[in-house]
Amino acid sequence: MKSVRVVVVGAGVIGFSTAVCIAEALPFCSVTLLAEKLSPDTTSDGAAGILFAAQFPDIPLDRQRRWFKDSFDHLLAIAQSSHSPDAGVMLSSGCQIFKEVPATKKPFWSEFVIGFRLMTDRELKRFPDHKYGQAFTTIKCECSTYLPWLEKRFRKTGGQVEQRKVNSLQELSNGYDIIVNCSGLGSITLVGDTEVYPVRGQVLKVEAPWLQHFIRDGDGTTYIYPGIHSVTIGGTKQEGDWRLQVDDGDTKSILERCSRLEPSIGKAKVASEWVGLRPSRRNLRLEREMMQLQGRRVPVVHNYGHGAWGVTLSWGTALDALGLVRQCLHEMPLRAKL
Amino acid sequence: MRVAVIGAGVIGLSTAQSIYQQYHSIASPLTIEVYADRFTPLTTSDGAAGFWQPYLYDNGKIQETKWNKETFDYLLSCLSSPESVKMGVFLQSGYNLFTEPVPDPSFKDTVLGFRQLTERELQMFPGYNYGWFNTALMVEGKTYLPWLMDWLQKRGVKFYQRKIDSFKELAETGADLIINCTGVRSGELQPDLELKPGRGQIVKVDAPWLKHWILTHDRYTESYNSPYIIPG
Repeated sequence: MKSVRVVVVGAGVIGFSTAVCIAEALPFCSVTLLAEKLSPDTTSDGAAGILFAAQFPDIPLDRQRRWFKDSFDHLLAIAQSSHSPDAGVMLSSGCQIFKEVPATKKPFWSEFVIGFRLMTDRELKRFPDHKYGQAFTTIKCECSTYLPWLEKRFRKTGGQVEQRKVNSLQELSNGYDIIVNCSGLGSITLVGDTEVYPVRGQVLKVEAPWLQHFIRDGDGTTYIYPGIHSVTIGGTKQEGDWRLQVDDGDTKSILERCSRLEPSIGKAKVASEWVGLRPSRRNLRLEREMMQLQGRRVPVVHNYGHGAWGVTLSWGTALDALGLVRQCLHEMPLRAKL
Repeated sequence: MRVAVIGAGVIGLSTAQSIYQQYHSIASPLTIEVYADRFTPLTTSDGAAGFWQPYLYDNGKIQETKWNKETFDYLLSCLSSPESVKMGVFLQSGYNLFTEPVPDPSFKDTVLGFRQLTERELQMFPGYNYGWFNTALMVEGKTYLPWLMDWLQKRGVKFYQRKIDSFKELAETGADLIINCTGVRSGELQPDLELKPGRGQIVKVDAPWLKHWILTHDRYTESYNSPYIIPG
């Protein structure tokens, strides 16, 4: 009989990855996932989902390396398995190109992606505006397929999913013993975190089945990511911008910039446009705290603020969150575990 | 000057294109005619994946390596043209897999980004201990052939669906030059003991999540008798 009641708030890639990690590792916990938005309406759903990391300034590097490596290895195993199409996870090769030689020649994640190397001069010839490039193979994880696949795994363990907006953690204190907060931007109001802010991103989905490689400009704002059924091109990085509506000026700019990188984009039919608000924070928040809710002391594990690297760090941070949940369990009064 | 090309596969049509490009202003008036009993989509070229990769070693036949390189460089230059999509030409990367270390191939400097496979990549392919990764070109017959025919037609090249039974037959109609691009059935026009069919059967599957070609090699069998996967 399941004796410890865990609730995960948030049904994006962080929420579901965390919920699955907990439910699969701790069979004596009953895990419920609550969220206002479920796939296909989460921020994760529109993301291209290419695994690729930047760096948080104040988090120890070996922790970030572990997050990246764990996420990459987990998804690589899925990409190599027969689950690949059902999970929406595939291998993707391509390049990141720079107009100026970057300061960091070997970013920390270069050893975790596959076959990382510098581009040859012949390869760079295709990009007359760029003088330096890195080629490698990484993973693309399409959340509009991956999230439903994770949900199936979650439900197999007995996990419950409820679509419901949580307005305050107080609502949860009576029904649950441990709260796991994966509410992304929602953390601003849910836990009063003023350090969280949106970074608006617009992308287009185009039909260009002849494109097999990803191309990313080192500035991080212009990219072409071929996926299973369409190619995601983008993008924008508008800090503090809450607009969820498509901006025609952004669409035009994206098409222009991407066509300059890959002229055949001009021949591609635009299938759709999408906007997402990256749940950004100077450093992502992955820690536990004891909160006083409705007269009870309830442990809360926070796992949010992944910004542009949610998919990239999803499994690694979920594993860390699981570790924090285990710590909460060890410290709980024996009564609650019976 | 009347040139008759026999065969409308990728060789026949490319040859007609080259002749036009090189000679139409020099040997004016130049009439080019293409004779074939099969046109796209019924040629051998139509069923091919269109993957550019020669046999691994040229064994000293450097002329073949030169032809291969010229083809690759030409197709690469087509990529930047607005016609590239209509031509069916695109880049694709992938893996050549072996069960033991082998020398580098004759085409290693022709393709892009050629390198050995890393340990992690080899772990992705149990049973294989060695391999290469590189970016190559794809030119899909079923798209390229119609594009070539259109290109040729626009420049006045005429097509005749007819089986040619002898060179004499064409000479008698007044052809000044005959280009024989009849592929596997050349033996019917002129016996050639070295010519043999290499039967190939393939299965087309719908697997849009695969973006890399994978070619395996077995030292005991000839090329293409060992499994391969080529996304298109």
